[in-house]
Order: sequence, then structure tokens, then C-alpha cells
Amino acid sequence: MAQTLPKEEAKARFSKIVSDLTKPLSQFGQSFQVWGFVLFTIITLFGYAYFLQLRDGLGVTGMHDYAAWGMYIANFVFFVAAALVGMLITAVLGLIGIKWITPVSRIAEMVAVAFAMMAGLVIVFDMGRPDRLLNVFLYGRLQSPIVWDLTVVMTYTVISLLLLILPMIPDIAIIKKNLPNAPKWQRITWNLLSFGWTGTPEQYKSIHRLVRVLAVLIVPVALAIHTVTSWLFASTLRHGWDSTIFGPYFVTGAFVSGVAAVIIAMYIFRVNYKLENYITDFHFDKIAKLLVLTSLVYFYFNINEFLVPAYKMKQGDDHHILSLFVGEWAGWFWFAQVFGNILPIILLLFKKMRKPTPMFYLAILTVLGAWAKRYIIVVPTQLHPHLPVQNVPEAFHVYYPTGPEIAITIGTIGMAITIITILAKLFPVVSIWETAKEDGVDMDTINE
Amino acid sequence: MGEQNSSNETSRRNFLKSGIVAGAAAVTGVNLLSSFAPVEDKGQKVKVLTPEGNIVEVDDAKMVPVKEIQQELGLTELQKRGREGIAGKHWVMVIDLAKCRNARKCMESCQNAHHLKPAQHHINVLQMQDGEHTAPYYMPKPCMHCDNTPCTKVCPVDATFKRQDGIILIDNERCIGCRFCVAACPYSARVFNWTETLDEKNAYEVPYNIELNVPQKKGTISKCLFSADRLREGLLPYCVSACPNGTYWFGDLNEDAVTNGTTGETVRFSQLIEENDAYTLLPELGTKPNVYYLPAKDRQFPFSEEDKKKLEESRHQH
Amino acid sequence: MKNFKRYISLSIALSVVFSTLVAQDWEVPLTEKSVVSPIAFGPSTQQHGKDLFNTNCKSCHGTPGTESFLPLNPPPGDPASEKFSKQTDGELFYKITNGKGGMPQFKNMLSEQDRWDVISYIRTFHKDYKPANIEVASEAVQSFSGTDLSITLQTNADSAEVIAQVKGMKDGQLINASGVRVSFLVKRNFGFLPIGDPATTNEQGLAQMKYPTDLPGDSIGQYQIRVKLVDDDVYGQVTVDQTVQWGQAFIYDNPLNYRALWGNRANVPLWLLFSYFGIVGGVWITILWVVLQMLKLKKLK
Repeated sequence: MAQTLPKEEAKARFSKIVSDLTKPLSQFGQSFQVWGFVLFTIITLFGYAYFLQLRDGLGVTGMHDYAAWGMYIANFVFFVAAALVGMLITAVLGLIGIKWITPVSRIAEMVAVAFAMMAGLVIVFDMGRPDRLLNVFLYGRLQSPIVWDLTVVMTYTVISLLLLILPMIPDIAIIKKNLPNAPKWQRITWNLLSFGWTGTPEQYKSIHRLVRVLAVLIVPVALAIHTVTSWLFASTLRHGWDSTIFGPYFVTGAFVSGVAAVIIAMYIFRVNYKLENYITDFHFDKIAKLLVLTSLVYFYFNINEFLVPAYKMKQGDDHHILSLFVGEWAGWFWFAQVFGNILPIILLLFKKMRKPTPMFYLAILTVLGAWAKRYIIVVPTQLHPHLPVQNVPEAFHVYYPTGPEIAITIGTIGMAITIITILAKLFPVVSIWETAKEDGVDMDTINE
Repeated sequence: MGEQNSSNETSRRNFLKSGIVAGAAAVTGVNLLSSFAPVEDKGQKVKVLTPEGNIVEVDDAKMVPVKEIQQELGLTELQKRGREGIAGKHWVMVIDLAKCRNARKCMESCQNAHHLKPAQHHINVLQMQDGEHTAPYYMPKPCMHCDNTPCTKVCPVDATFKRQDGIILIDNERCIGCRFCVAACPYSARVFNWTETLDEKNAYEVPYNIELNVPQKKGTISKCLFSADRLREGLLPYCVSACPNGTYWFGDLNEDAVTNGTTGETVRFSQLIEENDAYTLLPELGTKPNVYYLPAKDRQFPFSEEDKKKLEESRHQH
Repeated sequence: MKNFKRYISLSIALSVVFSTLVAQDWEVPLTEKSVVSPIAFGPSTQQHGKDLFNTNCKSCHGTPGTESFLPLNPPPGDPASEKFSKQTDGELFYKITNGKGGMPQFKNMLSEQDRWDVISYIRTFHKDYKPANIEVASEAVQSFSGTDLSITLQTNADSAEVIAQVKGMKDGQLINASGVRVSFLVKRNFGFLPIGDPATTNEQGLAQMKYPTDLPGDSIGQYQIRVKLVDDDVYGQVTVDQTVQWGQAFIYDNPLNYRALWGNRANVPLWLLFSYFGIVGGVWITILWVVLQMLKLKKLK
């Protein structure tokens, strides 16, 4: 932390920070409108596709009895995975006192909240009878991992939301004061979420304490959400799913995709919100190293997950493993492994690569690889059941997502991005008060 | 994909189209006629598909449509009764692989009874070959009605459940269509209604009979029910009585007896199992199936050369 | 989908070819045609053949002489018909042995002697049949020739034995029916379980059977027995039912009374119930506490 600045200097510094970080909140320029239109189009397409699915049933997708879970569930697993990064950065790194996360943690929380919310929704889009969603609450069976999953997804969403809002309360009070002419919807939200903040030391003490409690609480909940998601597969008896390391394998994979997603968001905000002085090369360098670390751990789990069964070639596993390594799924598999795991490890070892722009493109590849990985975890296993697939149409031997299915999947991703967009228009993406404090602005100036 | 299967699809569809679906469900053939209340002869003849796959002419007046039978009981009573099951029973099936010749009468009668589409199988006759140099054989595969059920374990809403007589049923008034049970079943015994069902297409509206899983509903699961509706009437399951080759034995483990659906012969279950070295499917998974197989030794029908070739080809594809 | 359609049309074509192939005459090699039974046909072979026929052949061929065979393609035919009677013993034997199409092969199911016995039974319906090889014992089937048969049962609880007394009217007198085959059965869900082989009544019209004691009965070990005349085509349906208490008591243990992971929602295992609500409760209480504290922020001046 920098030394405390003299009063006048602190004031100037603080107002600069406030104006830099709040300016994007009141800018709805042309590029934002184009962006909004793109999202609107994606969601409209989604609406039409989902209407078709509701009208004609899940048959409008490419799913069938030998691939009963398809792109939707793969997408669901990806969303849960991406949501996990909030816990990693805010809770784990925050609790052990890592400093560089200050400008990153709110972005991470926004990503986490958006993806956690959408994860819950994506399950509904995958249901054959979404009108009976209430049955889960009316007749829920505690023995079912789906009930556990719904429970933890809801819990995690709430905790993430709280972890987003709590440290933001001082900021909300600040922007409320500084942007009196903001549109009504923004001011109503700010009024509601400032919780009567005046900036007393007791209030600071209280939110510090609450954040700490939530940070501790979210660690097991976050582990649970992705572990339980992995149990949706690991609790069955199928080749490729019947694995004891699925929990940690999923969790470590989630960190990779989550960190990559945050890097993409950081870069976009840095460029669009002109935050080069706040989200700096230093932060990118740090998070690049974090991506290397998580990828290394994930790599270790991948070796365990694939090498051990490949060594044994147990009947049933052999078909599955070979189809991934050299068979019809090899393209997907190696794309996922190389771009989603190996490439980040190798490339980010070089200092030249740990710069915002190369990292942005690498992170996009990593996220695509991570998504592909979820796809090949979900789909191929079902196409290789214990007993032969016979007396059904040829199409039941393969799975190709259909147009509506892809539209719905892209739509859900669009919705998650929309949520992030809205959050980033409502709240500063980098913490004002924490940044000011680290820059040596005294608390009195902040609370003025 | 058998030739018989596909050619029968046409006849089934025509049959359904001819608008006597209601009769089909209830009657499905001569075996059931006896259980109908005698009605006056009106002299009009109607074509009905029997569980054996034959079209027979039945007197119109003798057909009591399912509608009337089911309407005696409302939805809730049917569900309650269906969920409880029959006390004191523990149904088991024994499938003698030596007797199967891939006639697929079981599949047909089952699809007719449960109003299934051609690609939907509650029971499916598979062409098996365990190893490269082992002998191929035909294997009818219904739901195993396991005692350690992977499918009911994962159901989030009790829509699939095990009743006291061991049968695993579906409540398609409850099912949310998450398809976790499909993913969990290692025997691929479950099918999903991905699109509009035949019942919905034909506007076949009767109170839902959980023991027959009819009418089928879009967005819900369907599966082999051991013909719970037939068992309630003291009759053997549709597939069991449709088999022309004596492949199926069915009975109650609690009274140690199974009856052959073709010959009507009754034997002690324990003796049949012991003398023929019976086994269960994928026992290493610990599902504890209630369907037993007698090995395809001393078989009555050779595995057809045509199917052998097909198996060979499909192995090379993998 | 396109492939599938093509496949269907191909398989329809194939099935047409297949069925015409099957419908062709079934040629038996000349050397096989002249094979004859090594053992002379007689009442015992016919009797045994009849039992074998009823369990193995009747489901398709129906009862001989009644044209009650299944309407299959090609039709299995009535064994009493000319289609069968004009064939040689060797032809019939060959066909039973090897099967073809819908006709099973019985070479692994029935011994050679069994197969000849079935033929000897079928031959009883063929009036003009002349045994090909050896002269057949001309004695008639030794059975009771009276009418109005009835059975009375005597049970011995200690030894679990049933003695059936068969009587019938002959020459206007009610006399003990000897030489009548009696089967002993136990009622089960979908049929009757035969106990041992059918017994033939002795001079006094008595037949006896020991029942198993290891058979599950009801809750106090009762089961219903049935004694029946085997040759109901001769004597009509004659049966007697009785309930005995010789079985194992079956105590019904409803599996749904236990908590299990596979069980319904009410039967959730206790450890799971407590863990779930313990953990979820703990987490949500903490969350609620945090929210309450947030609402209290206003008061912290």
C-alpha cells in the first residue's frame, strides 16, 4: 500500500479515480448500442428456438435415447465451471491476503454471478417438462444428485451475489453521490443497494467481517457445486463417467476455464472502459501465472483420468478411450486438451505472452477448449453404452446438435454476457474505494 | 434393425390410423378377451392386432375399450394403486437364450400395448457377441427391474420408483423430463418421448394408467413395466405370452415358481436357475437384476448367417 | 434419416425374399428319408411322446386333429393332417431334429429316443400308418375304459403324501379305475407346478405322490394342491383341489419398509437426511445472518 497522500493530493487523486471508474456507467454510446443489439438478436433467436422446443418437444434437438444429454448439459457444466472462479479469486486468494486481486475480484464476482444464475436456468431449458419445475420442490428426493445440485447452485448464486454486493456498498454510495443525473433505473438500484451507507468505521468493520464470513463459507459451497455437478456423471455406471476422481477433476478444470473467462472480461473492460491504469500489465502478468498454475493442476488430473484407464483398456472403457484418442472424437479431444490445457501452460511461461493482448486471444482459445472438454465429457460416453445400440435408426449412433439447439445454447451464453453487461453498467467494475485506499487516499476523503 | 421389425411398423401404423386405438390397448389380442365382461353380440367385426402380431377379427361388441375399464378408477386411484404394487410378490423373469430365434413377437406386442413408436423399445432383442471368437446369440433385453436400482436412485422427484413387488414404474404425470435415469441406466432400458407421442397424435384421452404408462406423454420417460397391468389381472406380461418359442419364463420369486409364456409349463424357479447355470446381465455393476438369463447352449435355432455378417461388419466399424 | 429409409426398404425387400425361401418345399435328403425307429412304437412311447408333444410342439402345432395350429407363414400344420401322414418316419425325424426357419431344431433339446417317441404319438392320428420296420406290439393302451371318473384325496400330513383314489363307471358299476395316469400339482401364480412325473393308478385305483416340504407356501406354509387326470382328452377335465400345510411359511418382508438410496422420497436414509438438512441449514442460517447484518448497516453510526 502506498503512503498516505496529503489531503489536497488525495482529493485530486480520488476524484480522478471516481471519474475514471464511473464514466463508463453513464456512457451508452454507439458501440454499446451495437453491442446491445447483438445481444438482443441472440436472445430473440433463443426465444424463437425455445418456443419451437416447447411446442414440439426436445425432439427439435439432436438428442435421442443414446445421447439423452447433449449440448445443454455440456453447456451447463461449463457455466458451473466458469462460475467457480469467483470463489477462487475472492475467497481463496482474498483470504490468504493476495493484494493484486483488488481490480480483478469484482470482475470475477460478476462473471461468477452471471454464470451461476444461468447455470440454474440452463437446467430448465434442458427439461422435457419445464412446466413441472415445481415438482422438484414439491416432491424432491434427497437421494438424487440433481436435488443436491439445485440446492448448491441456488446457494452459490446467493452467496456470490452477496459477495459481489457487500464490498460494493461503499462504492454504490460514492457513485450515487457522483452521478446524480444517471437514468432512473440505475439510481433506484443504487438507492436500494447502498443500505444507508455513511462510511462510519463501524460500517467498514461490519462489512469486513461479513465479507470474511462469506469468503470462508463460499469455499466449501463452491467445491460442492462443482463436485456435485461431477457426480451427475460419476454416480452412474457408464464407461468414462464411472470415475472416482471426477470431483477434483471437475473443480480444477473449472478453475482453468474460470480464470480464462475472467482474463477475457478483464481485457474487454480494460479496453472498452479505458481502465489501462487500473487493470494493468502487472495484473495480467499475475493472473497469467494463476492460469498456468491451475492448468498444471488440471493437467495432472487429466493424466490420471485418461492414462490409468488407457493403461488397463478394460472392456467398454477401451472403445471409449480409443474413440477419444484416435477415433471419431479425436478432433474434439485434442482440441480441448491442447487449447484448453497444454497451450496455456507452455505459452504463458514466456514473459512476452503474459501481456494483455496475446493473453486475450489465448484465453478465448482456452475457453473454447474448456467448452469442448465439457462436450466430450458429456456426449461420447452415452454413445458407448454397455450393451450394443441396435434396432434403432442409424442416427442414434451419433449425436449432432441441431440449429435450435445451438441457438438455445448460444442464447444462454448471450444471456450470461447480458447479465455481465448490465452489472457492468450498474456498478464500477473495479472497486473505487479499495483502489483509492491502496493508492493512499485516506478514508475521510473517500467518505466525503 | 431387423426386417421383420420394419415391415411390421407399417402394419402397426395403419392399424393405429384405423381408429381403434382404444381397443388395441385393452384388447391386444385374444389372450385378453377372456378378461372382458361378456357383452351382447352385435355381429360387427373389427380387426385387432394380437400380441402375437396377427390381425384377427373380433366381434365389435366384445371389445370393451380401455376407456371404460380405466374410467372406473380415476387418475389418483390408479396412481396410488400403481405405486403400491401387489403385496407379497417379487416378480422375476427368466429368459432362455437357447430358445430365442429373433422372432421379435415380444417387441411387437410390447410396442402395441404401450403405444410406442418404432424406435422405442421397452424390450429389445439384441444380437450379441461377447468376444471376437465367441458365439453370437440373440438376447431379448427388457428392463432388469434391479434391486439396487441405478435409475430410481437418481430421480429427483420420485417419478420413477420401485414398488413392493419389485417392479420399477414411471409416473409420467410426475416426471420432469431431466433424463438422469436414462443416463444412469447401464442397460439402456429407458426411452424418452422426444416428440409428440402416438397417443397425443391420436388424441387418445383416458385417465393415465401408471401400470401401462398409457397415454404416453411428450417430454417424459417410458420404460418396461413387466406389464404391471397384466400382472394385476393375473396374466403373464405381453412379451412373455407373445413369444412363439418358449423363450420367456415369468413368475414370483416368493413362491419359487415361473411359468413359460408359450407352453404354460410351470417349474420351480430355483431348479431352472440351478440346472441351467443361469446368470444375470452385467453382474459386476451390482445392480442385482430380477431378470435371469439361461445361456444359449444347445440352442433351438442357429444364429442366422445374415446377422452374423452384419455383426462382423459392425465390429469392423468400431 | 435417409439412410434409415433406404434401410427399411431394403429390409422389406429382403424379408419378402426370405419368406418365399422359407415357403419352399422342405426337402429331406434321400438317405435320411428311409431312416426308421430303432425301437418299436407302443403305448409307452406314445404316452411319453404325447407328454413331449404337449410341452414342446403344441404351442405352434396345436392339438392334433383340431386344426388349431398357429397362423404363421409358412403354416406349421396339423400333425394329424395328410401333410404329415404322407411323410416317412425318417422325414419327420429329420425335420424335428434339424428344424428350419420357424421350426426349432430339437437335436439339442430332445434325445433321439424322445424324438422317436413324439413321432410314435403323431402316428396314432394316422389311420393308414404302417410301421416301416418291425412289427409293432398290437396291444391296446392299457388304460381304464370306463366313464365318469372321479378322484378323492387322502392326505398324510406327517409324510406330506397324497393318495389319490380314482373311480369310474364301467358296465353300470362304480369301480376302482386302474391304469389311469394322474398328475400331482401345486397352484402357483400363473399355472400349476407339477410334482414329479404323473403316476398311474394301481389295481385299487390308487396313485400316490410325496409332496416337497421346501416349497414356499403362504404365511403359515399352506399351499393349494391339485390332482388331475392327465388324459383329459379321454376322460374330460377331472381335477380335485385341496389346501395343505406342507410348505415353508413365507413371511412377507416389504422391501419398501426400509430406508434406501434407491427408495422413494419418504425412505431417504437417515444419514442423508441429517447431513443434507444439517449442511443446508447451517449454510442458509449463515447467509440469512449476513443479510440481516447488511440491513443493520444503516444503524451503525
